[in-house]
Amino acid sequence: MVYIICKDSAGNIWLLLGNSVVKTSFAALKMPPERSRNQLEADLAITKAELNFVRRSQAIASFTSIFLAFIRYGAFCVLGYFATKCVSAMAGRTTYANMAMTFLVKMKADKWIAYTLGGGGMLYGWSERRLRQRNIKRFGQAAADMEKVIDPQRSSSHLSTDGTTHPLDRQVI
Amino acid sequence: MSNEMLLKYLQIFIGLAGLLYLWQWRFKAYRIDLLRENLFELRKEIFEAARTGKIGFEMPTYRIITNTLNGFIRFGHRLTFLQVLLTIIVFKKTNIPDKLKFNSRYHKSLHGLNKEQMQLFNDYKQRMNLIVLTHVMGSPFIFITCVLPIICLVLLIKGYKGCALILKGAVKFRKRSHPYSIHRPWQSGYEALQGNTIIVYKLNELDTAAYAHSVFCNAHFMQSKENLAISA
Repeated sequence: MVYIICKDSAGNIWLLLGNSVVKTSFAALKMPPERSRNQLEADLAITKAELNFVRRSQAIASFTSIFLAFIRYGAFCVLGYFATKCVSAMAGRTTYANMAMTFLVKMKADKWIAYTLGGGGMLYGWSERRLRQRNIKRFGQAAADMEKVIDPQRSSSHLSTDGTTHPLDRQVI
Repeated sequence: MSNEMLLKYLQIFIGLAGLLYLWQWRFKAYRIDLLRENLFELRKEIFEAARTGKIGFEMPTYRIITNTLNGFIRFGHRLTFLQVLLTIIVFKKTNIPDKLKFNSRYHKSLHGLNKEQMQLFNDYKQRMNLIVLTHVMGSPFIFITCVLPIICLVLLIKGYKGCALILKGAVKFRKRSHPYSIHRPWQSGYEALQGNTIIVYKLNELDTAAYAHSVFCNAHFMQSKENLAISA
């Protein structure tokens, strides 16, 4: 089917639907009202500015991700480099690296690093657990709300909201 | 070099590699998850307010706030200190029409709302900004370069007991000066920011970026879906 759209001076739209001609308007067609060239140009300028800003932000994001990856993997490379230097020092070739490492050992760096790693790991585990409990609480509440909409007679199960054991259930009866 | 020394060296390297992994991978992922969780909770609260009729789903302010929140949730992984710094610089260099800026859009959308609704939307906006600011300022880079030296300095000067006393005093002062902090804990934090207009202004720039990204990516996503449907 072919639609031909024309507009007369009164603002009516004429559609040719096959053999019949239909008179209609923008409002009847649920089309946005006609806009002037100036309005369209102003909108285009705003969209262009927004697009330009988003494009620049994307470029920044790419740069930042490369920079951060460089730091991230660069640090591992530096560690590897010093590890090889350490092996060289073992062979008695590099005294400088040997001295630096001896200083670290004298400062008991291995002990402090182990403490920090252990402590950091514990902190991370604890934080993740808290976050998970918050997440369970949010989803559990949402599910309960939706169930109540479907079944208003729904009673409470008296389970803890964050997925942990209910304090009353801990008591041995 | 003895075997014992070699073992110690190995311990140091493995420990450092472990710390690097914990910091760069695990903690960073955790911080992003935490940011998203906070924003999701806020979005849910706004939805609840709209569902109960305090505000309306059809209100333009509701759309603006949720779109901005969606932008922050979607691009939470990009909210690093460096990215924010560069975004602010680019914002300065790019000639963005006033119509596009978050603040003008937001204030324009507030027209016609009653006082309670305005207050509610302002609270949501402040909380959103505070969540984002806390995330950016709590980055490991800022912590190591700014917070840690201050803590070390205070520890050196005042000792452990002095530090504990300072912390206790600060908490007491906060509770006394902001009696509503129990119900609106973000308010005191945001009020502290109000004096610093530069930070508030920069936060609005971030909001503009998040809103623009959210709207554009949604449009792009819908377009891709349409294209996929057409090709199918």
